[in-house]
Amino acid sequence: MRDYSLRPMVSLGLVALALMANGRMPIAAAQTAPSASPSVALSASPTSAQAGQLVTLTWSSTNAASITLEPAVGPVAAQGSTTVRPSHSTTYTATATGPGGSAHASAKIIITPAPPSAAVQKRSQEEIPSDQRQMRGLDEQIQEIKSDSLRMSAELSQLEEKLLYPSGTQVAIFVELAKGDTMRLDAVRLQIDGQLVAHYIYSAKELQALHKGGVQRIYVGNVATGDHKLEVLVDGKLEGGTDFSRTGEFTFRKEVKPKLVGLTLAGPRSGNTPIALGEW
Amino acid sequence: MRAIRQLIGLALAVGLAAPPATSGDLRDFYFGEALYHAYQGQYFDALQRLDTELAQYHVLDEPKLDTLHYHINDAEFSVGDFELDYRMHQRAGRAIKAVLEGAVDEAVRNEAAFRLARIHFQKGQLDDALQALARIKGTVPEQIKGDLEFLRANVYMATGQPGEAVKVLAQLKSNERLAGFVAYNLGIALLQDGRPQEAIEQLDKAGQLPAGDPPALAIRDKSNLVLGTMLFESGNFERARQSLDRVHLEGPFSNQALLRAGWAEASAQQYDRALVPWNILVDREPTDAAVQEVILAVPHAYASLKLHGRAAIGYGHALELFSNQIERVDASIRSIREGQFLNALIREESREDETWVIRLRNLPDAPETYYLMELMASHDFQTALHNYLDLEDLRSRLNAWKTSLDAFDDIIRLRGQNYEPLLPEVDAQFRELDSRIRLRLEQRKHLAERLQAMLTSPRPEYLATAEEQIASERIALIEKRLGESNDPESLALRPRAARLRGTLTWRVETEYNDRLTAAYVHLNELKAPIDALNQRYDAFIRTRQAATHSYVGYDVQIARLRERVGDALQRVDMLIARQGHMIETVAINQLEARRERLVAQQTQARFGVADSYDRAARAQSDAGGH
Repeated sequence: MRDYSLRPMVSLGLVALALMANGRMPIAAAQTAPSASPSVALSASPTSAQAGQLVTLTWSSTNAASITLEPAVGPVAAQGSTTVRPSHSTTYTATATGPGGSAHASAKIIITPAPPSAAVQKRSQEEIPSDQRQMRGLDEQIQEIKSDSLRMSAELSQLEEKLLYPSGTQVAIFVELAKGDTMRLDAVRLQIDGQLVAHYIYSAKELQALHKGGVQRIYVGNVATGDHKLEVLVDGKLEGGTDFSRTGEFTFRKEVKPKLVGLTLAGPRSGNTPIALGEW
Repeated sequence: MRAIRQLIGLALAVGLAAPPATSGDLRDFYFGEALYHAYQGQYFDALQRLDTELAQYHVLDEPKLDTLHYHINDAEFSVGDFELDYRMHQRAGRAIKAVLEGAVDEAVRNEAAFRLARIHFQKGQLDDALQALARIKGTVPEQIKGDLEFLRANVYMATGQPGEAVKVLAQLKSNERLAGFVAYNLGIALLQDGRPQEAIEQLDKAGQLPAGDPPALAIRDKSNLVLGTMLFESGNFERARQSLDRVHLEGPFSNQALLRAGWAEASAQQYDRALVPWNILVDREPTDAAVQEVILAVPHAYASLKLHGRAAIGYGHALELFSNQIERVDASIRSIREGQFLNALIREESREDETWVIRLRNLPDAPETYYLMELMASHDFQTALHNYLDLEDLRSRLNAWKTSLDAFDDIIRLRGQNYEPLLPEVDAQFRELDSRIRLRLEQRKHLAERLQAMLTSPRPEYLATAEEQIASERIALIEKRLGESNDPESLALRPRAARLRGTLTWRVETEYNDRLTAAYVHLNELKAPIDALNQRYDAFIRTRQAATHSYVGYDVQIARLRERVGDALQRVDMLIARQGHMIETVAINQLEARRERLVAQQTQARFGVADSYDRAARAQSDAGGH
């Protein structure tokens, strides 16, 4: 497994470059340091990692004029830390050099083989980080409450239908667009027996849903059995932006069972009937 | 390799996006209504509508007479799609399994198996996905052939069988719609199969395919980015640069490509050339990780070119930028802790279209989103965010239901108040009318039976008029009085009475047929008013029943629903709090990681400034010395 991220190279390069200035220990001061022998300590965390994983190297030194971290890091400050991303097992060595001589310290990072590369990997429970585990645990509970809510919603809508729109008087009016029609529907107004029952203005999202073939239930209400007059007014725009308006008048017969009325709308240039009524 | 994993993710996501299933003209309004909601992303409503429709359909005696019959397979497929879209993975697939196990033809069963496999794959159930794919035999609908093979290859890749994936993808090369994704995935499959050289050549092809739409362009860019990175890794800097240069400058991968293109040049010691892409990148959005990296890389390049003065200025800018960004991250962390992030999320205007996550960063009062783009793009976090919004939506629904239940109670109470005093009187009147109606109907029935009997055994006297009946009775009385007497008066009157009787009998007998016909006509004329009466009677019964049904028998159901809604609300409140807390924690962890990185970069910039000034000063003094 190779790591294709170049980030560590940048940071290492810059760490090396930046630390050469050795802000904590000016070069002049180093030159006048006492000639005691230098010492250096180096540690890595974690000491075992997968290829490409970030590992932090931390070091400190005394009596050193310069510290070099190898391989690949270069000159660094007297103490500090940096991150590396080794692709294979590597022993990093810090060399402290001063007027009193030099000292070395090393830390080995063991690279363990990465799991086989795949787009989706099944991970066992222990490998999943705790926040992800928590996320999934919550996700399951959320799915349950969604299921419960859907069941409640179904029961409520049946209750609502029974209470407010009993089948003996129920009439539902649906709106769809003729297949492939491109008009921009702005509004639909419905009157049953001269009474305004619906005046709907469409949002872009709703219009898009209609264009894709969705059917809108624009009105549910109650009427007595027998014949009823339905007046439909459609406002819209043509592709060029011109306004248009169409009206239609229909009669539908309400029987004892629920009545479903479908209105299929089409733009004036489509060649289809502008407002067609279908009954179910 | 992380980059590659992300790329594969994109190829899958696009290749497996499933539009709701509709084939042919729509015949069922309620299915159309479910689609209408789904097309607007209102999956709760879509599911509720479709679940109800399917439940009703499955209990019909003659489902073939129902309009849903024309769409039943599409409807079952759509339920699965909607469930996935509504992030209900546990339920998704159940409806499709029902199709798979039902008596359907081969093509439909194969499509069901494909959809089931796709759901299992998206849920990460790879073995189940393989099993579902194994069920596909014989005729496969033309429109899913390409998607099916693409899915098969993805499953092979996910189950560590890149060699098999290579074979499948190689067959799919001619599919124009999937071209970019197939080409890219083939490259990755080759790489995973341990064939790096072939992978490079394949990605090279993928990186030069014509791309007409944004997804195709994105996958081409990714191909070039991965290829460039691989070539760079193998030390082929020139070819790496060529590949990276092909990445579209405005695309989502352009920042990474510019950064890496610069490094390809820098690694070949071409620092002046590295500065070309880097100087484009350095002016971009300063919160982007690549931009922050290049802000240090640019002065590094100047330093390498021994332009220490310019390097010092560059490091100075970097220092300032990192300080500002650290402040910004701190402000974001504070803001998240104050709950601003979640508030911004639930704002309606931020969710109007599919790119809402991206546009969040433009929202005022939401500084926290600047550093969360990477996190927000991850699948798990997106699911968590969407779930949070779903919970908010559920909360408002549950509250609305609570209000509805109160309103139902009111309606029921008012209806009771209205009907209860009226109904006893109405019922009493009805009982009286009912008995009169029944009596009349009985009479009519009796008449009809009599007439029927008279067809076979004529009874003319039944059809005598009232006058004739009176006359007949009077004649009978006279005949009785005359008796058997033989007195002359009686003897004279008896023939007269007999003549009268004869005349009457003659009339009744000779007019019998006409009278019978007329009686039938009259009886038939009764039919229309009796039908009307029956209709009114039935209508009254329905209305009377409806009156009772409008307020009787709901108490238990409403009380139970109210309890369930209350429980659900409590659970939702608790889940919102926990989900919100988790989102905030993950976001804060991410910001803290970015902060740590910014602090490290700030330190680097600080050293860079000092080093550059030092070197610039030394260079100046060297020049002075000479």
